[in-house]
Amino acid sequence: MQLRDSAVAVLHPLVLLNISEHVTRTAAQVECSKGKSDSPKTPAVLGALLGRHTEGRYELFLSFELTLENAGESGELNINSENFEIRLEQLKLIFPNDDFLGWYVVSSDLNVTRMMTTLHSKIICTYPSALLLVFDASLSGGSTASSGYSLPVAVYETHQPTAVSRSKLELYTQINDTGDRPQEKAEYYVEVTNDAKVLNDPNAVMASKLVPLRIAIDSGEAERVATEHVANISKTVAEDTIVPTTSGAGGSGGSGPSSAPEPGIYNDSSQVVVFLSSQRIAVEMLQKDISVLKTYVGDVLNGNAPFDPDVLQIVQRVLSNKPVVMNDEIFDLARAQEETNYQMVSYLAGMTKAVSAVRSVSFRANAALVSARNSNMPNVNPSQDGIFDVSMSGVMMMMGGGGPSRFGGRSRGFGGMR
Amino acid sequence: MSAHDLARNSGADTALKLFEAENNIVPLSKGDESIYYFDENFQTQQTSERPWNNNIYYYRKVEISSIALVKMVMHARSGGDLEVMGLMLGKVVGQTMVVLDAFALPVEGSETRVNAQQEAYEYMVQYLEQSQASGRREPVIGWYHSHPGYGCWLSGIDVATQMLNQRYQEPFLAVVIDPKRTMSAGKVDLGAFRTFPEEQQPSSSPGASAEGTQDVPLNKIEDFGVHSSKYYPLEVGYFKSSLDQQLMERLWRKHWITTLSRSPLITNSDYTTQKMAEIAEKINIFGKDGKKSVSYSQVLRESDAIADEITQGHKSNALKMKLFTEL
Repeated sequence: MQLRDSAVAVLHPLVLLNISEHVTRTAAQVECSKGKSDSPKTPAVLGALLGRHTEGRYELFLSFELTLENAGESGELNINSENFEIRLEQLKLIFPNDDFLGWYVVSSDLNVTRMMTTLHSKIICTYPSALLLVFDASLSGGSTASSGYSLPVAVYETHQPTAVSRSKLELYTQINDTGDRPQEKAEYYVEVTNDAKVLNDPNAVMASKLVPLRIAIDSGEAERVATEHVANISKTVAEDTIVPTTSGAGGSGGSGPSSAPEPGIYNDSSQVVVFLSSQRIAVEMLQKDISVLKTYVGDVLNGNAPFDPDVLQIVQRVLSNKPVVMNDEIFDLARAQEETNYQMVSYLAGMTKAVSAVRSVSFRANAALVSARNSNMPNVNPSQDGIFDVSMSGVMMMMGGGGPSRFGGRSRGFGGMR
Repeated sequence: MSAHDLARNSGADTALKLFEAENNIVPLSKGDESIYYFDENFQTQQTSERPWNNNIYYYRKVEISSIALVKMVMHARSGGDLEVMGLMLGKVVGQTMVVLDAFALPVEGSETRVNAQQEAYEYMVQYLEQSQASGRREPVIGWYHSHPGYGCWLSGIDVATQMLNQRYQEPFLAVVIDPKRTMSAGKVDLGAFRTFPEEQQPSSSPGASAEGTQDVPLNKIEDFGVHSSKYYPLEVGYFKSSLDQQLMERLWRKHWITTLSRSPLITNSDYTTQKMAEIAEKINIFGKDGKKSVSYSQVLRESDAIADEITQGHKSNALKMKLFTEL
């Protein structure tokens, strides 16, 4: 598909996690209430997407759940608009910069279904440029080869309505109703119902084309830290995660809470180890991606792989990238300063540690001395407390001297290095 | 024309059924099922005996879901230097409190006072109504707020708020997030607390519960010291569903680039400078031999932490130098 010049949908991990949670929760409710009493049917899993839209870039930050209105006799699908309005308003109070951009729906593949077009044509009455995000909860992915890596979503942009032949709508519906799979490149059209334009041709209909968008991932700094935490630290729910026992009355109120160490890698290793291992994983990923490209280029040279000028051009572009800051005196100076700062801080921290150790030794020695004196030598001058003068101030002042300098403030260009 | 209308009507009829069939797809692991399912009867049974009255340490553990964690951290970060707050939804299972979701409240505080006002209350009620209509059935299980830059502990006002809520809203939990330290350390800095009821203070020596676990800046240390014996920290764990897990794996495919390209030294330079000044100030207090409110071990820990963070920044720079310029 030619997507390169078209608009891009930038997804934030929060949105994906939110949808995933919505699916899991709904499924859990259905699974557990099955056979019990009320409705064992799966409710529709759909919701609204919020974000910002600038120049062909849709950035999706937030999402919230939507419900379908109780289907009446006709069984017609309708989004509960009161619920939608209130929740939108509430979220906008806290995130005033984000607008309603579209909606998501969870399905078992990435194809657009009849139900989606029905709802979408209702949504675009109010929001003519709404996006449609299809989330594939089975994670099967479209193409088998890359599905292990690609995200299980497809995002469609609504184009300006045009008059098209009614068969454009029908064609797709027919294919789907008979159970045949629509082709990969099937064009999706959604009927625009509120357009007052009267068409002369009875076979024509005003419809908007749904165009798939390129998908990118972005995350804010805080989001990144939090998702990384989720990805690497938190465990997947196992059956024994939460044991519903009320056993162990917990001792008699007086005992303090026992702080059992948290399982996970933070437990017995320092932060530096955690940091370094995450860097290592990242480098590993980089290496893996490079080797994929390398294999591809090699295959093309040997004639085993199809020649794709676009991909090769990108490879070429990356290869010709020179480091921007090679042999830049100011940069080197800043870096040297940064390094000095770093060494100074390590040095000071080490010194503080040493002083603290000496201090605790001296405390203990004094305590031992005093008690020994009290029991054995009651006649020694009591005003003399111990042999060490317990003071950290002398050495620790050095640490204080390190304070005013700014770390990182002077350097430039570090952020640009990739 | 008529044929078309017919097709449309029957289409609308079957649309819902079709959709329901299409959606019954997610195979759930046993664990997912039990944790994401909300059973009202079970909750009533869990809380009807009010076990927290007999044991003030009844709840020992908190399990926070991935989505709740990400929401809270992002909200805390979005507040910048201001404190923000929100509520958490969840349930209790035995002695564990499970946080399944969180939402922000339109309240911003400053310094150590965060207090939900009337409008926030209205907002909350409306939000809960709507989210319950959307199928989220868990009740409020606690509140969270941020302490930008000064660590996870409860201030006097926080203690009062939490005590009030525990009196009328049990089971109730307080979570504090420090977005600045989270960014600086590259690791989520979060604490979960419960207060002791007023008439049932623990018999152990005051200050034993929460002190020694937190680095508190000098100007807050008095507030911290006075109230630190009125609450206890809970062990915090995090969980995600198996779908989250698979999603994260795919996300990570695109995510590592950010890990490499970010520069902790630059993002955190302000915080680092502030922290150094803070440590220097504390050390100067030792020299003056004035009030002994600052413990030596605490300063040591802080200086270690900041050195660690700078080491991280430096190492990532060194790594990038090696990777991209010296090959």
